[in-house]
Amino acid sequence: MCSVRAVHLLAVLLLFAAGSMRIAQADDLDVGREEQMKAAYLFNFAKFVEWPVSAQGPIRVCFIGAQGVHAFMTASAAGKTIGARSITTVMLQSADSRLGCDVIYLGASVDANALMQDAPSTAALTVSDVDDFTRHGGIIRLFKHENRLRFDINLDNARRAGLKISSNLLKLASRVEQEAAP
Amino acid sequence: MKTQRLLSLAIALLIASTAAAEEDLTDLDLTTLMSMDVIVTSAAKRSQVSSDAAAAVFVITREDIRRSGATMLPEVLRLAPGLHVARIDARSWAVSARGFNSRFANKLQVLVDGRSIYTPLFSGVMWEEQLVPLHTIDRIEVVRGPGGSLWGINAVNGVINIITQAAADARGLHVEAGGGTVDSESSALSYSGRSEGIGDYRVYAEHAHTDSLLNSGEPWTRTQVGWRVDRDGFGGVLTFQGDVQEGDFGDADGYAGSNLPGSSKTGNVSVQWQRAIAVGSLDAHTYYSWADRGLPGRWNEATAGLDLQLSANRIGRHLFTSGIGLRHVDEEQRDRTTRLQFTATESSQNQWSIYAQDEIHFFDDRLRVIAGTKLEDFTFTGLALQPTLRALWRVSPDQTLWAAMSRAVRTPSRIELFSRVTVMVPDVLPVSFTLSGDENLNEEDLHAYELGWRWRPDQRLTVDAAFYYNEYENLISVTSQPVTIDPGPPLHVNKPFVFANALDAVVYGAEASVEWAVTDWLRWQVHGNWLRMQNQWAPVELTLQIASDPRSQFESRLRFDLPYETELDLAWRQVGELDNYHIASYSSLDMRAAWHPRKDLELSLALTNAFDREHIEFFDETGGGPGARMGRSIFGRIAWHLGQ
Repeated sequence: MCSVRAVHLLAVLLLFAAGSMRIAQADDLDVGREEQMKAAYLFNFAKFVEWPVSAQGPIRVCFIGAQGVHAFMTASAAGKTIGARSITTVMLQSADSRLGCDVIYLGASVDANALMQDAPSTAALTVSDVDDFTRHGGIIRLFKHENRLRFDINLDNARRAGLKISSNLLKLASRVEQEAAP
Repeated sequence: MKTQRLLSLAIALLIASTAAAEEDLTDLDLTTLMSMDVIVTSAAKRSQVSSDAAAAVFVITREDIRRSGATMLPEVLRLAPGLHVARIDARSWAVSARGFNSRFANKLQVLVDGRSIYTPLFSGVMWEEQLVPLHTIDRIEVVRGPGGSLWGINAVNGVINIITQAAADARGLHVEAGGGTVDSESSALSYSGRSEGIGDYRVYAEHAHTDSLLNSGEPWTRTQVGWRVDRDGFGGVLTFQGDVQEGDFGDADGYAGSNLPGSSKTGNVSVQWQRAIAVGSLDAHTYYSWADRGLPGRWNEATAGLDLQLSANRIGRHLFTSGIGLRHVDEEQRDRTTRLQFTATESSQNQWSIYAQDEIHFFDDRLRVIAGTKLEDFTFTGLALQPTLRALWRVSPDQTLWAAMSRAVRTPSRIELFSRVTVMVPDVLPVSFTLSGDENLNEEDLHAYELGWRWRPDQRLTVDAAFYYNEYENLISVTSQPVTIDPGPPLHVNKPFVFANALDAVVYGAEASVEWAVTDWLRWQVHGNWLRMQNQWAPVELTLQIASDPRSQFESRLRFDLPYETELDLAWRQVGELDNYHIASYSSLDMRAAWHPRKDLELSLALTNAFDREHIEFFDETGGGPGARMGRSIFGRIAWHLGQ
């Protein structure tokens, strides 16, 4: 029985050592479903937002990190429209310009909060699942509560981006943040 | 950078090629999306939303666990409908679903992160050895009903899967310490971080001590340390886990007159690998666990398992899942000078299994039919086939009906196969009693018929009901044999008892649960279950039936989120009487109050059995008397999280 245990432990260690590859943030094992749901939420958020009149052409949804959500969004947004506008998805690198994006989704694997500090506020709906996102200028923060996806909305940041958010969406948010009216 | 672009393109193509066939969530409105659980994996052994499961599933969430004030795993299980959880003494519980409860209940398959934790010694769970730190649990999936077609032998009445958080989920240091009148001290520490060379990791340690409960049993001290690492590897995600546990139950002074083990040392190590491939996703899981128990007999057990599963993406109307499993168990009785003897002091058992399940969608995904089966070979009983046929019908966007027909099998345990216990009555009378196992026992057989209904009118209200009719055959129980004269020396009379497949039974019942978010600050959960059992004795006279279940149970919980970051939780439960053991029905009100002076600090006080109606929950089967009397108890705890 001792030898079985030793062999098994050895096998585990070998597997462990051999598995050194580029370390990216390891996602939760059941990643697919959660990312698919986040893409569905993102699609719905875009339905409830009013962009400034100057926004024309397809709705550009930009992703930084969050490959899974980008992939699901690309696949399911194909051929759909929100209002009269079709949807295109773009994968950005951290250093790329975010001008021209109508929606920016930042994955948890990038330092979303730092990215928000650096960039000037663009007229885009910013969404992320990173903690404290709204405190760093983000508009919608996604999070899991009791195994269900929920979201917080920061109205001040939305106003700064020139966006109007429908009260139907505000009703469903877990928390709506805004400074008290003067 | 280029690889990242290529990678995301590849993923997009991969998903795009199957997305047309996969369910498209973007068609759903936000209200519906918000009422869906993110994940449930135990019902179909692959990720799905719980409302899609054609089985009686209930998910106990992290919040449920925290708000319950429970300090131990079996106490957390009270939150699920359909489970009968009875505390016997400081460290023993009887947990089962849909009947046949006992400290040695053997009809439930229980897993921690996919690793089976039942012991082949009696085909049940030693709950005193399961010390998963509660604050690291992500969720517990409870599936009532046979899961044999996916989870194999022993998943007769249900499957409980305890799933811990990924290492990345709660970064930083988490400290908990508490004490109270019964659980005199309890502390846990975990640290979770990320290191470039290793990946995301978590390490933890916990220690607790529980006093002996009134009139029964020994005090219980236990310590557990463990670790977990999540990282990328071989194109997928790798998870490594391990725990080591040590428990001390005071002295084991023999079989009769005390609870069994005096101590236990257990440990396990496991590796899991999940990877998306062209046709779907591949899951591989291997584990090794060992136990050294200070049972009368000094018992050693080692288990090694390997599971491989392919969850295919949708091909046309079909969603196909298939897998193989191997399991090897070695057992050895080290100390043979005790009363509990085994005819085979060492034994090995092997199981291999292969399973396949297909889920077919009809009428625009409004009707799903699931057909699956598992073929399993077990050393002592041979081949067993466990098929299932299920259907799920989406009557309307907020109502679902499901039905299932399944066969499940429970293989005999080591005690039932090989044990030999002899008790000599004190030398005044020349009488002895023997209890023997039978190596030729067959497996127990269940044919189950189930029906379920789910109603989710909006994100605030969920109603779930399930009905079942179970036909059991060849249940193993103790039967009495004619008295014999044993020449000895000394000459004495012997009354033998033998384990035999002597019992058939029909069990039917219903389970219902309602969850209602009444307001933003008040949540109400209520569940109940009803059970009727009809036993049919076999020709051999039956004397002992080690099992007892209440005919009904009812539990109601209120969760208040109050001003100044405080919480109040009230739980009232009512459990019916246990006929076999003449234990009266009881009700208990548990209360918990908590305060968060800061976002990362929680002070809580839990009061169990507030009205101090001392009650007994179960029979102490090893001690031979009623279980401990549960009175009022208080437990206070501080939980502090440093870091993210």
